[in-house]
Amino acid sequence: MNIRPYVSRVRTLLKENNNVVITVLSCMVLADIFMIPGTSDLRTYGTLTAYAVDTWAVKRKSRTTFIGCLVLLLVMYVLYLATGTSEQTEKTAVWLFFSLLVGVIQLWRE
Amino acid sequence: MNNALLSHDQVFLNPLLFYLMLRFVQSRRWIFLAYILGITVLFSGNFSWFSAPPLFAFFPLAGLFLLLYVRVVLKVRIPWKMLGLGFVLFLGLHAFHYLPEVKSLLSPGSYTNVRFFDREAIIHEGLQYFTGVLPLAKASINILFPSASKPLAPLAIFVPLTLLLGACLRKKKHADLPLIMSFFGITYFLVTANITHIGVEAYKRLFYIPGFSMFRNFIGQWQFVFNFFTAIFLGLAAEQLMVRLRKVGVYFISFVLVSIIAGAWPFLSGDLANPVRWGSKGVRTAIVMDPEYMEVLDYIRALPSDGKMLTLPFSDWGAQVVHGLNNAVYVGPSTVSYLAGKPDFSGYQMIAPFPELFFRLVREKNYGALRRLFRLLNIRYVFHNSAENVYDDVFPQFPYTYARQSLPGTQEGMTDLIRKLDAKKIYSRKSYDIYELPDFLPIAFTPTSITFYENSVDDWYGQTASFFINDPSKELRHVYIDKKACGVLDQPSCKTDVPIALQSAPKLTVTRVNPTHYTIRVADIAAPFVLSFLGGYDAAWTAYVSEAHEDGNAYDQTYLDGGVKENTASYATDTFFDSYLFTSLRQAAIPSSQHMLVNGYANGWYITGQDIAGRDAMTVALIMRDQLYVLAGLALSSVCLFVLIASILFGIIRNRPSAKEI
Repeated sequence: MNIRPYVSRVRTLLKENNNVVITVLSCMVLADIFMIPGTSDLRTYGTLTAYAVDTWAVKRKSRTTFIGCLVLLLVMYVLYLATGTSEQTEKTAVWLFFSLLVGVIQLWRE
Repeated sequence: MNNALLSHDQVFLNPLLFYLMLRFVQSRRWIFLAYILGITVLFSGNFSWFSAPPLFAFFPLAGLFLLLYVRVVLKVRIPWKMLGLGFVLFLGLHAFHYLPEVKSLLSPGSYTNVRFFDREAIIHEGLQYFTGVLPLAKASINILFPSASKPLAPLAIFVPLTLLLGACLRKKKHADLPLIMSFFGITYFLVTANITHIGVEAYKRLFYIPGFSMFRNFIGQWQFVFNFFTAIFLGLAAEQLMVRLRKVGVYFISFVLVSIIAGAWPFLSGDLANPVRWGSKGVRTAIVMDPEYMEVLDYIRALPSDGKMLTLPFSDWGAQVVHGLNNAVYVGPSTVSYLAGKPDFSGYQMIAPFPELFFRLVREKNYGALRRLFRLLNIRYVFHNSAENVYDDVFPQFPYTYARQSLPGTQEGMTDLIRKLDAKKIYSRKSYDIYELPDFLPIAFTPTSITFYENSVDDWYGQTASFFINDPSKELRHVYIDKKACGVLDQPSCKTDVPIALQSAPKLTVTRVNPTHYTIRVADIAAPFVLSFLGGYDAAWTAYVSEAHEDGNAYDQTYLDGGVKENTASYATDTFFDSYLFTSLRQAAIPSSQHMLVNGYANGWYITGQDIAGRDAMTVALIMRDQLYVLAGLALSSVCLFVLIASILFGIIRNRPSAKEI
C-alpha cells in the first residue's frame, strides 16, 4: 500500500492550518499546566508527538521552538516566584525540557 | 567543611583537566597530557565504590563531548596514538589504588562485586535509594539555578534566559550549539530524573547496567557535570548575544554576569562551605576542634590494640558526630577509626551483618544477647560522647532518624544502656566517656566449643541468623558455624543444634606484623582444632603453617585465662613492606576448603591432623594475600611516576610552551 499520497495530504492539511494547530497545541500545554491536576504521560507524549509531526510537516525552524521555550521559561519563572516548586512549576519545567529537546533535534537537522 | 573535598575538585579541577585535554588535542603537545597526568596523581580521588561516582559522572561525558567537539566542530584529527600512550601511563600511575579495587570487583561476594553485579543488591541499595530521593529532584530548580540566598532568588531567570536567547539568535550554522545543547539535555535528564513516568522508568532501567548504582544519589552525583555543560552553553549563548545584539548584548551579558556573581555570593563568601547542618537545629558544619577531644583520641590510640570500639550515639549510616568548641559539628567517617586507629562501629553500615539484630536486641532490652553480640564482634570498648549538642533535641532526625527508632532517644538513655551492659568506665573527660565491657573475645583464639546453625534467614544482608541470641551456652570461647561447613570440620554430630565441645583448644601467642599479616604461635596442640580470627571474612585471608619459632617478643596482654597472649607493642610499629608476603608465595597454604565463615562475618580455619603433622607447637601466619596487589600497584605506579616526571622535565627543557599558549 502506497502511503505517500496520504502523508502528503496530511502535510498539506497541517500547513494550511498551521496557526490553528499551534494554537490548539499551545492551549493543550497551558491547560495541562494550569487546569488539569496530576501528570499524564499520554497527554505529554501525545501533545509532543503532535507538535513534532506538525514541525516536520511545516518545516518549522528551530528558532520558533526556542521562542516557545522562552514563553515557557517566563511562565515557569512567574510560577516559581509565586508558588515555589509546585506541581504547576514542575510541569512547566518538563514542558520546557521537551520543547528544548525538539528544538535541539531541529537544530541538528538544520 | 561540609564535604568540601568531595565537591571542590569537581568545581576547580575537572574543568582544568578538560581545558588541558582540549589544548593537548588541538596542539598535539605531550606536555599538556603530562600536566593532566601529573594533576590526576597529585589531586585525584580514587576508584573505590564511594569515591568513584564524581569521576565516572564527569569524565566519560566530558571526554565524549571533547572528542565530538574536536572532530565535528573544530574538524581536527584526534591524536589517538598519543592519547593511547597517555592512557597507558594513566593506568600505570594509578595502579596503586585501582588494582586492589579491580581485584575486589572481580571477587565474587566482595562489597564492590555485590553492588556491581548482584541484582538483589542493585534493587535494595540502588533502586530503592533512588526511589527514596526521587521526590527531592526538581525540574524547575535545575533550570533556574536559584541562588542559595533567598533575596537573590529572583535573579534566577537570567542564566536560562541567556541560554534561550542565545539559541534563538544563533547566526552561524555551526554544530557547536546543537552539540553543547545535546549534552546539556542529557545531563539535565540525569540530574533531574523526575521527568514523566516513562522517563523515571527508563532511568530505573539504567541501574541494571553494572556499576550504575553508584549514581543512586543522582542529584549530587550529576550536578557538577550538568553545571559544567551549562557553563559552556552559557558561554556560547553569551557570544551569540554579543555578536547579534552588539552593544545591547554586551550590556545584557554584563548584567547577567553581575547577577551570577551576586547569586553566587554565598559561595564566594564561603558561607556555602559552612551552612547549617541539615537535620540539626541551627548547628553549623565548620568546627573548631576541641583540644580535649584530641586528648581523648590520644587515649584511645594508647589503649590495648586488641578489641574494637562501639561509638554512641550510633548513627544511621556509619558516621560519627563530633562537636567543636563553636556551635558546629563534624558528621563523617569515624575519627576513632581514622585518627586513633581503633576499629570502630559508629553506625548502621559498620555493624553489618548485624545492624537489624543489634536494634532488635536493644528494643527487646535483651542485654545478655547484646553482650554476646559484642563478643562475637570483638567489641571491647564503648565510646560515649554524651554532649547534648550531638544528639538529643539538637539532632532530632539526621543522622539518627532510623537508629532512634530502636536506640534511646536521649543521652541519658544511652548512659543507662551502657550501665545495663555492665560496662566499666575507664576514662572520662568533659562529655567523653570510655567504657570497657566485662568480657570480650580477642581477635584470634581457639574455641573450646562450636554451635552449628542453619542460615535460614532470607534477608539480603545474609548471615544475620539470630543463632546466638538464645544460646544457653555459658562458654566464652565459643564460635558459630554454618551447618554447610560440617563436611570441612568432619564432626559427626554437627547436624544438631547442640553445642559441641572441641577436643583441642591450643594456646596462642599473637603478633600483628601489620593489618594484613598476623603471626600466631600455637602451643599445646593435642588434636585438630579451629583457629578463629575475628577480622571480616575475606577469601583472600590465607593461613600458612610452619615450624614453631620463638620471636623474642614481649607478650604483655593475656586473655581467656592465658589462652591467648598478645604483643600489643607490635601494633604501634606496623611494618609496611612485609617481606613475608613474598616468601609466602613459595609456601603451601592451608587449603581454602578449610577456611570458613564463623560468627556470620569472621574467618575460621580448621587445622587438621595433616596440617599439624604430629607437632605439639607450630606457627600459623595469617596473610591477606590481596596486599600483593597493593604492593604490585605501588611498584608499577612508582615506575610510571618516574617516567612521567622525566617526560615533564624533558618537555619543559626541550619544548616549553609560552605563557601565552597556556
